[in-house]
Amino acid sequence: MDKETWVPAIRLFIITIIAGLLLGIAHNVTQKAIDAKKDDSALRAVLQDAAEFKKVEVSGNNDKIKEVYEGIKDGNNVGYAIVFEAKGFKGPLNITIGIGKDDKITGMKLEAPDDTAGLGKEAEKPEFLNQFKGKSPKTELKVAKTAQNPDEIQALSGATITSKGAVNGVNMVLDYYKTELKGGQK
Amino acid sequence: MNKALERIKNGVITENVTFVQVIAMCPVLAITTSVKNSIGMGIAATIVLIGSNFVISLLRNFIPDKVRIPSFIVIIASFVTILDFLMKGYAPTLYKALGIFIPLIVVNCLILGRAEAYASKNPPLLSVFDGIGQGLGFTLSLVIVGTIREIIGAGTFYGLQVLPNGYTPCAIIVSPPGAFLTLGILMAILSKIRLNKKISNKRISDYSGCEHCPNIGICHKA
Repeated sequence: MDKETWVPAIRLFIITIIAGLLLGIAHNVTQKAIDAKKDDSALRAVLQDAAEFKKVEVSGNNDKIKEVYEGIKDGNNVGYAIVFEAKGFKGPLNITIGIGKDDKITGMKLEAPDDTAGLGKEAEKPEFLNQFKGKSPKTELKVAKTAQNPDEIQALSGATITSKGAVNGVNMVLDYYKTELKGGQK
Repeated sequence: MNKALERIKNGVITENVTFVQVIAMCPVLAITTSVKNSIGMGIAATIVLIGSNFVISLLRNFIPDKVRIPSFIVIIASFVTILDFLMKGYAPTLYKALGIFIPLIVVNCLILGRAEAYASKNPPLLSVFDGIGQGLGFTLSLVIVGTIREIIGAGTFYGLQVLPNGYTPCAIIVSPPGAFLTLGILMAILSKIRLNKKISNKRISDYSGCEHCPNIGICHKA
Protein backbone atom coordinates (compact mmCIF):
# COMPACT_ATOMS: atom_id res chain seq x y z
CA MET A 1 0.00 0.00 0.00
CA ASP A 2 1.30 3.41 -0.81
CA LYS A 3 1.10 6.57 1.21
CA GLU A 4 -1.63 8.02 -0.98
CA THR A 5 -4.05 5.38 0.28
CA TRP A 6 -3.42 5.01 3.95
CA VAL A 7 -2.72 8.59 5.01
CA PRO A 8 -6.28 9.77 4.20
CA ALA A 9 -7.71 6.62 5.74
CA ILE A 10 -5.84 7.06 9.02
CA ARG A 11 -6.62 10.75 9.21
CA LEU A 12 -10.32 10.16 8.65
CA PHE A 13 -10.14 7.45 11.30
CA ILE A 14 -8.58 9.91 13.78
CA ILE A 15 -11.31 12.47 13.04
CA THR A 16 -14.09 9.96 13.61
CA ILE A 17 -12.49 8.63 16.82
CA ILE A 18 -12.24 12.13 18.29
CA ALA A 19 -15.77 12.98 17.16
CA GLY A 20 -17.04 9.79 18.77
CA LEU A 21 -15.29 10.57 22.04
CA LEU A 22 -16.65 14.10 22.14
CA LEU A 23 -20.16 12.83 21.43
CA GLY A 24 -19.86 10.37 24.28
CA ILE A 25 -18.89 13.15 26.64
CA ALA A 26 -21.67 15.43 25.38
CA HIS A 27 -24.16 12.63 25.83
CA ASN A 28 -23.11 12.06 29.44
CA VAL A 29 -23.25 15.75 30.27
CA THR A 30 -26.65 16.44 28.74
CA GLN A 31 -28.37 13.18 29.70
CA LYS A 32 -29.09 14.48 33.20
CA ALA A 33 -30.77 17.60 31.84
CA ILE A 34 -32.75 15.53 29.35
CA ASP A 35 -33.98 13.20 32.10
CA ALA A 36 -34.75 16.11 34.41
CA LYS A 37 -36.85 17.76 31.69
CA LYS A 38 -39.15 14.77 31.72
CA ASP A 39 -40.75 16.48 34.66
CA ASP A 40 -44.26 15.91 35.86
CA SER A 41 -45.63 19.40 35.20
CA ALA A 42 -47.91 17.99 32.48
CA LEU A 43 -49.15 15.30 34.85
CA ARG A 44 -49.71 17.86 37.60
CA ALA A 45 -51.67 20.08 35.25
CA VAL A 46 -54.14 17.35 34.37
CA LEU A 47 -54.49 15.76 37.80
CA GLN A 48 -54.21 18.59 40.28
CA ASP A 49 -55.27 16.59 43.32
CA ALA A 50 -52.20 14.40 43.24
CA ALA A 51 -49.14 15.27 45.29
CA GLU A 52 -46.90 12.72 43.63
CA PHE A 53 -47.00 10.34 40.73
CA LYS A 54 -46.05 6.72 40.59
CA LYS A 55 -45.39 5.09 37.26
CA VAL A 56 -47.54 2.06 36.58
CA GLU A 57 -46.76 -0.63 34.03
CA VAL A 58 -48.98 -0.39 30.97
CA SER A 59 -51.01 -3.58 30.97
CA GLY A 60 -52.60 -5.23 27.99
CA ASN A 61 -51.16 -4.77 24.53
CA ASN A 62 -52.15 -1.29 23.55
CA ASP A 63 -49.26 0.45 21.82
CA LYS A 64 -51.08 3.80 21.75
CA ILE A 65 -50.86 4.15 25.51
CA LYS A 66 -47.39 5.35 26.32
CA GLU A 67 -47.25 5.90 30.06
CA VAL A 68 -49.62 5.47 32.98
CA TYR A 69 -49.13 7.19 36.32
CA GLU A 70 -51.00 6.72 39.54
CA GLY A 71 -51.74 9.99 41.30
CA ILE A 72 -51.12 9.74 45.02
CA LYS A 73 -51.96 12.08 47.86
CA ASP A 74 -51.33 11.18 51.51
CA GLY A 75 -50.78 7.60 50.49
CA ASN A 76 -54.14 7.30 48.76
CA ASN A 77 -54.88 6.90 45.07
CA VAL A 78 -56.58 10.04 43.76
CA GLY A 79 -56.75 9.02 40.11
CA TYR A 80 -54.63 8.34 37.09
CA ALA A 81 -52.71 10.36 34.54
CA ILE A 82 -52.32 8.66 31.20
CA VAL A 83 -50.02 9.70 28.38
CA PHE A 84 -51.18 8.44 25.03
CA GLU A 85 -51.12 9.02 21.33
CA ALA A 86 -54.10 9.75 19.12
CA LYS A 87 -54.36 10.35 15.42
CA GLY A 88 -54.35 13.94 14.20
CA PHE A 89 -54.84 15.21 10.68
CA LYS A 90 -51.15 15.01 9.80
CA GLY A 91 -49.32 13.28 12.56
CA PRO A 92 -49.84 11.99 16.04
CA LEU A 93 -51.47 13.97 18.83
CA ASN A 94 -49.61 13.57 22.11
CA ILE A 95 -52.21 13.76 24.84
CA THR A 96 -51.95 13.63 28.61
CA ILE A 97 -55.23 13.08 30.38
CA GLY A 98 -56.13 12.95 34.04
CA ILE A 99 -58.96 10.80 35.35
CA GLY A 100 -60.06 11.34 38.93
CA LYS A 101 -61.27 8.86 41.51
CA ASP A 102 -64.87 9.64 40.53
CA ASP A 103 -64.13 8.55 36.91
CA LYS A 104 -64.39 12.14 35.69
CA ILE A 105 -61.83 13.66 33.39
CA THR A 106 -59.88 16.15 35.51
CA GLY A 107 -57.87 17.75 32.78
CA MET A 108 -56.25 17.29 29.43
CA LYS A 109 -53.16 18.53 27.66
CA LEU A 110 -52.59 18.06 23.97
CA GLU A 111 -49.71 18.60 21.62
CA ALA A 112 -50.18 18.47 17.87
CA PRO A 113 -46.63 18.94 16.60
CA ASP A 114 -47.40 18.25 12.94
CA ASP A 115 -50.79 19.86 12.60
CA THR A 116 -51.36 23.11 10.79
CA ALA A 117 -51.27 26.35 12.75
CA GLY A 118 -54.71 27.93 12.79
CA LEU A 119 -56.44 24.61 12.07
CA GLY A 120 -55.38 21.41 13.80
CA LYS A 121 -53.10 23.28 16.16
CA GLU A 122 -56.18 24.96 17.66
CA ALA A 123 -56.76 21.66 19.46
CA GLU A 124 -53.89 22.60 21.78
CA LYS A 125 -55.88 25.52 23.14
CA PRO A 126 -57.87 25.34 26.37
CA GLU A 127 -61.07 26.36 24.52
CA PHE A 128 -61.11 22.91 22.95
CA LEU A 129 -59.53 20.91 25.76
CA ASN A 130 -61.67 22.30 28.57
CA GLN A 131 -64.70 20.70 26.94
CA PHE A 132 -63.44 17.36 28.14
CA LYS A 133 -63.15 18.46 31.76
CA GLY A 134 -65.64 16.87 34.12
CA LYS A 135 -66.93 14.46 31.51
CA SER A 136 -67.57 10.91 32.55
CA PRO A 137 -69.43 9.36 29.64
CA LYS A 138 -71.51 6.26 30.16
CA THR A 139 -70.87 5.12 26.64
CA GLU A 140 -68.62 7.13 24.37
CA LEU A 141 -67.86 10.77 23.66
CA LYS A 142 -69.00 12.01 20.27
CA VAL A 143 -67.96 14.85 18.03
CA ALA A 144 -70.64 17.35 17.08
CA LYS A 145 -70.80 20.56 15.08
CA THR A 146 -72.44 22.24 18.03
CA ALA A 147 -72.33 20.32 21.27
CA GLN A 148 -75.75 19.96 22.86
CA ASN A 149 -75.72 16.73 24.82
CA PRO A 150 -73.35 16.19 27.73
CA ASP A 151 -71.47 13.45 25.90
CA GLU A 152 -70.70 15.63 22.90
CA ILE A 153 -67.54 17.56 22.13
CA GLN A 154 -67.73 20.49 19.75
CA ALA A 155 -65.41 19.99 16.79
CA LEU A 156 -62.94 22.67 15.82
CA SER A 157 -64.07 24.34 12.64
CA GLY A 158 -61.79 23.36 9.81
CA ALA A 159 -60.13 20.62 11.85
CA THR A 160 -62.77 17.92 12.08
CA ILE A 161 -60.29 15.09 11.58
CA THR A 162 -58.03 16.26 14.39
CA SER A 163 -61.03 16.81 16.67
CA LYS A 164 -62.34 13.33 15.92
CA GLY A 165 -58.89 11.85 16.43
CA ALA A 166 -58.62 13.45 19.85
CA VAL A 167 -62.10 12.29 20.87
CA ASN A 168 -61.49 8.74 19.61
CA GLY A 169 -58.23 8.68 21.55
CA VAL A 170 -59.97 9.79 24.72
CA ASN A 171 -62.62 7.11 24.24
CA MET A 172 -59.92 4.50 23.83
CA VAL A 173 -58.21 5.64 27.02
CA LEU A 174 -61.47 5.75 28.99
CA ASP A 175 -62.06 2.19 27.88
CA TYR A 176 -58.57 1.21 28.98
CA TYR A 177 -59.13 2.94 32.30
CA LYS A 178 -62.36 1.07 32.91
CA THR A 179 -61.05 -2.36 32.00
CA GLU A 180 -57.43 -2.26 33.13
CA LEU A 181 -57.03 0.33 35.85
CA LYS A 182 -60.33 0.59 37.62
CA GLY A 183 -61.27 -3.02 37.11
CA GLY A 184 -57.84 -4.27 38.00
CA GLN A 185 -57.56 -2.29 41.19
CA LYS A 186 -60.52 -3.74 42.96
CA MET B 1 -11.67 43.61 11.44
CA ASN B 2 -12.87 45.05 8.15
CA LYS B 3 -12.58 41.65 6.60
CA ALA B 4 -14.74 40.16 9.31
CA LEU B 5 -17.47 42.76 8.77
CA GLU B 6 -17.23 42.16 5.06
CA ARG B 7 -17.86 38.43 5.71
CA ILE B 8 -21.01 39.23 7.67
CA LYS B 9 -22.35 41.61 5.05
CA ASN B 10 -21.49 39.04 2.40
CA GLY B 11 -23.48 36.36 4.21
CA VAL B 12 -26.50 38.49 4.98
CA ILE B 13 -26.82 40.40 1.70
CA THR B 14 -24.35 39.84 -1.12
CA GLU B 15 -24.41 36.05 -1.00
CA ASN B 16 -27.60 35.47 0.97
CA VAL B 17 -28.04 31.73 1.09
CA THR B 18 -31.74 31.64 0.27
CA PHE B 19 -32.30 34.55 -2.08
CA VAL B 20 -28.96 34.71 -3.86
CA GLN B 21 -27.36 31.29 -3.66
CA VAL B 22 -30.77 29.56 -3.61
CA ILE B 23 -29.51 26.60 -1.59
CA ALA B 24 -30.80 24.98 1.61
CA MET B 25 -34.36 25.49 0.43
CA CYS B 26 -36.00 22.55 2.26
CA PRO B 27 -36.01 24.17 5.71
CA VAL B 28 -37.03 27.49 4.17
CA LEU B 29 -40.09 25.81 2.71
CA ALA B 30 -40.84 23.42 5.51
CA ILE B 31 -40.44 25.09 8.88
CA THR B 32 -41.45 28.67 8.11
CA THR B 33 -45.02 28.23 9.29
CA SER B 34 -44.32 30.56 12.20
CA VAL B 35 -41.77 33.20 13.15
CA LYS B 36 -40.86 31.26 16.28
CA ASN B 37 -39.90 28.15 14.32
CA SER B 38 -37.97 30.27 11.84
CA ILE B 39 -35.88 31.91 14.53
CA GLY B 40 -35.28 28.58 16.26
CA MET B 41 -34.18 26.86 13.08
CA GLY B 42 -32.06 29.83 12.03
CA ILE B 43 -30.23 29.98 15.34
CA ALA B 44 -29.73 26.22 15.43
CA ALA B 45 -28.24 26.21 11.92
CA THR B 46 -26.09 29.26 12.73
CA ILE B 47 -24.60 27.61 15.81
CA VAL B 48 -23.78 24.47 13.85
CA LEU B 49 -22.35 26.54 11.01
CA ILE B 50 -20.09 28.61 13.26
CA GLY B 51 -18.84 25.50 15.04
CA SER B 52 -18.27 23.44 11.93
CA ASN B 53 -16.65 26.33 10.03
CA PHE B 54 -14.25 26.90 12.93
CA VAL B 55 -13.22 23.27 13.34
CA ILE B 56 -12.99 22.58 9.61
CA SER B 57 -10.87 25.67 9.16
CA LEU B 58 -8.56 24.58 11.99
CA LEU B 59 -8.22 21.15 10.44
CA ARG B 60 -7.99 22.38 6.84
CA ASN B 61 -4.37 21.31 6.52
CA PHE B 62 -4.92 18.04 8.34
CA ILE B 63 -7.90 16.84 6.30
CA PRO B 64 -6.70 15.11 3.13
CA ASP B 65 -8.41 16.30 -0.03
CA LYS B 66 -9.53 12.80 -0.96
CA VAL B 67 -11.61 12.28 2.16
CA ARG B 68 -12.65 15.86 2.81
CA ILE B 69 -16.38 15.33 2.28
CA PRO B 70 -16.66 12.44 4.78
CA SER B 71 -14.51 14.41 7.21
CA PHE B 72 -16.74 17.48 6.87
CA ILE B 73 -19.85 15.39 7.38
CA VAL B 74 -18.44 13.73 10.51
CA ILE B 75 -17.61 17.13 11.99
CA ILE B 76 -20.96 18.66 11.03
CA ALA B 77 -22.89 15.62 12.27
CA SER B 78 -21.08 15.80 15.61
CA PHE B 79 -22.08 19.41 16.07
CA VAL B 80 -25.67 18.67 15.12
CA THR B 81 -25.87 15.75 17.52
CA ILE B 82 -24.48 17.84 20.39
CA LEU B 83 -26.99 20.57 19.56
CA ASP B 84 -29.71 17.95 19.42
CA PHE B 85 -28.81 16.78 22.96
CA LEU B 86 -28.66 20.35 24.24
CA MET B 87 -32.04 21.28 22.76
CA LYS B 88 -33.65 18.10 24.04
CA GLY B 89 -32.35 18.95 27.50
CA TYR B 90 -32.81 22.70 27.66
CA ALA B 91 -35.40 23.71 25.04
CA PRO B 92 -37.77 20.75 24.66
CA THR B 93 -40.67 22.78 23.25
CA LEU B 94 -38.57 24.14 20.41
CA TYR B 95 -37.06 20.70 19.93
CA LYS B 96 -40.52 19.23 19.45
CA ALA B 97 -41.54 22.00 17.05
CA LEU B 98 -38.49 21.62 14.83
CA GLY B 99 -38.65 17.83 14.99
CA ILE B 100 -36.92 16.10 12.12
CA PHE B 101 -35.29 19.31 10.86
CA ILE B 102 -32.68 19.29 13.61
CA PRO B 103 -31.04 16.03 12.51
CA LEU B 104 -31.50 17.17 8.93
CA ILE B 105 -29.18 20.14 9.53
CA VAL B 106 -26.46 17.54 8.90
CA VAL B 107 -27.34 17.44 5.23
CA ASN B 108 -28.19 21.14 4.95
CA CYS B 109 -26.31 22.33 1.87
CA LEU B 110 -25.61 25.66 3.53
CA ILE B 111 -23.32 24.08 6.08
CA LEU B 112 -21.51 21.66 3.80
CA GLY B 113 -21.40 24.39 1.16
CA ARG B 114 -19.62 26.85 3.45
CA ALA B 115 -17.21 24.14 4.61
CA GLU B 116 -16.27 23.38 1.03
CA ALA B 117 -16.34 26.91 -0.36
CA TYR B 118 -14.91 28.90 2.52
CA ALA B 119 -13.79 27.24 5.73
CA SER B 120 -11.54 24.67 4.07
CA LYS B 121 -9.56 27.46 2.40
CA ASN B 122 -9.51 30.28 4.96
CA PRO B 123 -8.20 30.91 8.50
CA PRO B 124 -10.39 30.02 11.52
CA LEU B 125 -11.37 33.50 12.69
CA LEU B 126 -12.59 34.61 9.28
CA SER B 127 -14.41 31.30 8.90
CA VAL B 128 -16.22 31.96 12.16
CA PHE B 129 -17.34 35.34 10.82
CA ASP B 130 -18.34 33.70 7.56
CA GLY B 131 -20.43 31.29 9.63
CA ILE B 132 -22.04 34.15 11.55
CA GLY B 133 -22.79 36.05 8.35
CA GLN B 134 -24.21 33.12 6.43
CA GLY B 135 -26.13 31.96 9.49
CA LEU B 136 -27.64 35.39 10.04
CA GLY B 137 -28.51 35.59 6.36
CA PHE B 138 -30.23 32.22 6.60
CA THR B 139 -32.07 33.25 9.77
CA LEU B 140 -33.13 36.52 8.16
CA SER B 141 -34.59 34.79 5.11
CA LEU B 142 -36.38 32.25 7.31
CA VAL B 143 -37.84 35.05 9.42
CA ILE B 144 -38.98 37.01 6.35
CA VAL B 145 -40.78 34.00 4.90
CA GLY B 146 -42.05 33.00 8.36
CA THR B 147 -43.41 36.48 9.09
CA ILE B 148 -45.35 36.68 5.85
CA ARG B 149 -46.74 33.17 6.23
CA GLU B 150 -47.67 33.57 9.88
CA ILE B 151 -49.38 36.94 9.43
CA ILE B 152 -51.38 35.92 6.37
CA GLY B 153 -51.94 32.31 7.38
CA ALA B 154 -52.71 32.68 11.06
CA GLY B 155 -53.14 36.41 11.66
CA THR B 156 -50.42 36.36 14.29
CA PHE B 157 -46.80 37.43 14.67
CA TYR B 158 -44.65 35.39 17.02
CA GLY B 159 -47.87 33.95 18.42
CA LEU B 160 -49.40 37.36 19.14
CA GLN B 161 -52.57 38.43 17.38
CA VAL B 162 -51.77 41.26 14.96
CA LEU B 163 -54.70 41.20 12.57
CA PRO B 164 -58.21 41.97 13.86
CA ASN B 165 -60.39 39.06 14.96
CA GLY B 166 -62.63 39.54 11.94
CA TYR B 167 -59.80 38.41 9.67
CA THR B 168 -60.20 34.85 8.46
CA PRO B 169 -56.75 33.27 8.33
CA CYS B 170 -55.76 32.15 4.87
CA ALA B 171 -54.82 28.61 5.79
CA ILE B 172 -53.23 27.73 2.46
CA ILE B 173 -50.33 30.04 3.22
CA VAL B 174 -49.25 28.01 6.24
CA SER B 175 -49.71 24.72 4.43
CA PRO B 176 -46.99 23.41 2.05
CA PRO B 177 -48.32 25.04 -1.17
CA GLY B 178 -48.27 28.38 0.62
CA ALA B 179 -44.55 27.99 1.22
CA PHE B 180 -43.92 27.76 -2.51
CA LEU B 181 -46.26 30.64 -3.26
CA THR B 182 -44.66 32.92 -0.68
CA LEU B 183 -41.13 32.05 -1.67
CA GLY B 184 -41.89 32.33 -5.38
CA ILE B 185 -43.37 35.81 -5.01
CA LEU B 186 -40.47 36.94 -2.82
CA MET B 187 -37.93 35.64 -5.33
CA ALA B 188 -39.73 37.39 -8.16
CA ILE B 189 -39.68 40.71 -6.30
CA LEU B 190 -35.99 40.36 -5.48
CA SER B 191 -35.13 39.41 -9.05
CA LYS B 192 -36.97 42.48 -10.28
CA ILE B 193 -34.98 44.68 -7.92
CA ARG B 194 -31.73 43.06 -8.98
CA LEU B 195 -32.66 43.41 -12.63
CA ASN B 196 -33.15 47.13 -12.22
CA LYS B 197 -29.77 47.40 -10.55
CA LYS B 198 -28.06 45.52 -13.37
CA ILE B 199 -29.05 48.16 -15.90
CA SER B 200 -27.23 50.89 -14.03
CA ASN B 201 -24.11 48.73 -13.77
CA LYS B 202 -21.32 50.76 -15.32
CA ARG B 203 -18.48 48.36 -14.61
CA ILE B 204 -18.83 46.41 -17.80
CA SER B 205 -17.52 48.34 -20.78
CA ASP B 206 -16.57 45.59 -23.18
CA TYR B 207 -19.47 43.65 -24.63
CA SER B 208 -17.67 41.53 -27.18
CA GLY B 209 -18.94 37.97 -27.07
CA CYS B 210 -22.15 38.96 -25.33
CA GLU B 211 -24.28 37.68 -28.20
CA HIS B 212 -23.49 34.05 -27.23
CA CYS B 213 -24.19 34.53 -23.54
CA PRO B 214 -27.35 32.78 -22.22
CA ASN B 215 -27.97 35.82 -20.01
CA ILE B 216 -28.33 38.18 -22.93
CA GLY B 217 -31.55 40.09 -22.41
CA ILE B 218 -31.25 39.95 -18.63
CA CYS B 219 -27.88 41.68 -18.67
CA HIS B 220 -27.27 45.27 -19.70
CA LYS B 221 -26.54 44.43 -23.33
CA ALA B 222 -30.00 43.51 -24.46
